[in-house]
Amino acid sequence: MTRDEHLNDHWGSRLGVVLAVSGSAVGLGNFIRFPGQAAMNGGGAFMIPYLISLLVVAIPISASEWAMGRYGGRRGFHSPLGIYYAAGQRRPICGLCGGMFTFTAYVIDMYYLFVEAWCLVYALQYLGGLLAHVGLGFSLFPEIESGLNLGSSEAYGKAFESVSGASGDGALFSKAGWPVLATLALCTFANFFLIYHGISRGIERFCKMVAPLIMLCSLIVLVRVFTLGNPTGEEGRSLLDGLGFMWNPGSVRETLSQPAVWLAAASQIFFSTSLCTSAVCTYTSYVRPKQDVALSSVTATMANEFCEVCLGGMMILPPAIMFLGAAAADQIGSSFSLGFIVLPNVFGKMPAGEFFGFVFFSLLFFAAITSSISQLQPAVAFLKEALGWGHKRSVLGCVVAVLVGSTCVCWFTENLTALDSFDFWSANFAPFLCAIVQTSIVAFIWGLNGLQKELDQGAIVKLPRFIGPFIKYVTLPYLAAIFAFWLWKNSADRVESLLASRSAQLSTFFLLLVLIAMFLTSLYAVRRWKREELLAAGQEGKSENNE
Amino acid sequence: MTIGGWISMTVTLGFVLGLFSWCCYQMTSAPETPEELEEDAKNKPKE
Repeated sequence: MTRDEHLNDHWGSRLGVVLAVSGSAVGLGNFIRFPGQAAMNGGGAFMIPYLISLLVVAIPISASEWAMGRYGGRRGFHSPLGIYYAAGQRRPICGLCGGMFTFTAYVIDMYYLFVEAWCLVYALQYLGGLLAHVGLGFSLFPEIESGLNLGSSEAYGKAFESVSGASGDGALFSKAGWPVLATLALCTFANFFLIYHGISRGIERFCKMVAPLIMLCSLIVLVRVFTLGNPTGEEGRSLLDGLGFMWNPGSVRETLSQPAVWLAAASQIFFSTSLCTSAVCTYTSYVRPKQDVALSSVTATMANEFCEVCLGGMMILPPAIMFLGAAAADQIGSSFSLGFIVLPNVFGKMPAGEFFGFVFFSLLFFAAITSSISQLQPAVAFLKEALGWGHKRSVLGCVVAVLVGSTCVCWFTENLTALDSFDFWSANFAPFLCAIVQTSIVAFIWGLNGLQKELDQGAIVKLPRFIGPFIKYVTLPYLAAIFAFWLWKNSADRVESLLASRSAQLSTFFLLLVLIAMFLTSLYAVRRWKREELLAAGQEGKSENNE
Repeated sequence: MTIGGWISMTVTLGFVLGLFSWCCYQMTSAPETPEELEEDAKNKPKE
């Protein structure tokens, strides 16, 4: 792809951008994190704060982010650095904030590719088991049976330890760890291959191909879950018991009086929609100037909700309760243990479990890859805009940066310390902060009129006119309150884990270095743009004087 | 599953499915913009 082609790169259709943005949001959080959070925080009663957060936080922020992205894209900016600079009316501080928030894109990719590799490893293990029926079976790990029929919960825990390297730092850099590293290399190559081919020829084509596959895989698993009946024949393990575990509301008043439940609901909505992680504003900067953003933003958010509530909410916990009973309840709090220990255990006990395990982990892999490419695009766009690099050079620069970070994550694997640190700072802390800064820029610098004008341009369905004041007077204070409470609740644990582990300290130090590098690069870019603007203004003045 | 469970499941699924279906209907029924038509023409293989 040449430089000119990149500059003129746009989404080919409105369906393409909606699929890409919803693909960016749909990931492991929808299928694994949501059911656990809902069941642990009051079941059906949890859905009240959850839906309120959807209306108060997700839909307004999504609309403003889409509008901001297209506004920046029309001015030739495609990275958060440039988009914030444009929406901030060319104030350097806004550009610096945008540049520093691109940190999330780099860091999320550094560990998300690793998680993507686990999904592929599990899918391949199941495939090996399936092929064993025709004499072509294989296993990537000598000590783990292909098809993952391991029996006890402990054996599944041990298998996950082998794949993730959680037994100790550097465990993956041994003979036993090569399949995971090879799969990681394959995932990295696939991601950069798609990014290299650009928006319409790489990402859009891929998302149009993968979205139906995700739906198909989900439907296959969903139909299987709904036709299981009561597989063990024991009392309290029917489909309705499984659904009840997820949806029974318990005491609504008691649940709603707990601030922690509101926090969990807002966090779940916020993290699962991938808002304010640089991906959405970068993707939408490639939307054509007269293409709709108002309805598209709501559609992309609702597509994510459909996958989360209608698919994730219906197909994950019921089979866990049906096969494992109350024993599964202890492990649903952690996304990784639910996804990589409990569910393989369920597939091991399910008739034709190898096939459904293969389908499920393929689904997770496809969902993960659409999310990881969406984080790579802002990272590549950042290098292009900040340093003025060409497409090929920026992609290569991004490969090097991501590989350095991935090596750090793959080395400090004991109790998944590095992955946990990377996840906390890039996917939990930074997006909250970014949302507050972004909403403040929209409300106080860009202005509510600017936002409304941008949303109305090319709109298929115009959003209500109160959306701007709503963002300023409701969403922003709500976000600030949730963030303050979230910090209060999480900071003590974070400091404690930081002090306790040397790996956590080293990985946090690495992240600090990345942040400093992002700051200096952004500063260089913003100063260069200011200098160029002054020069252009000077030349204009000169030519006017000559005339 | 209790009655409360049925109610919360039906209301939540109904809300999400309803809004998502409405969005999809609006997206697919809206006419394409001249830019999109131009893009389609560009992508069409030459006979």
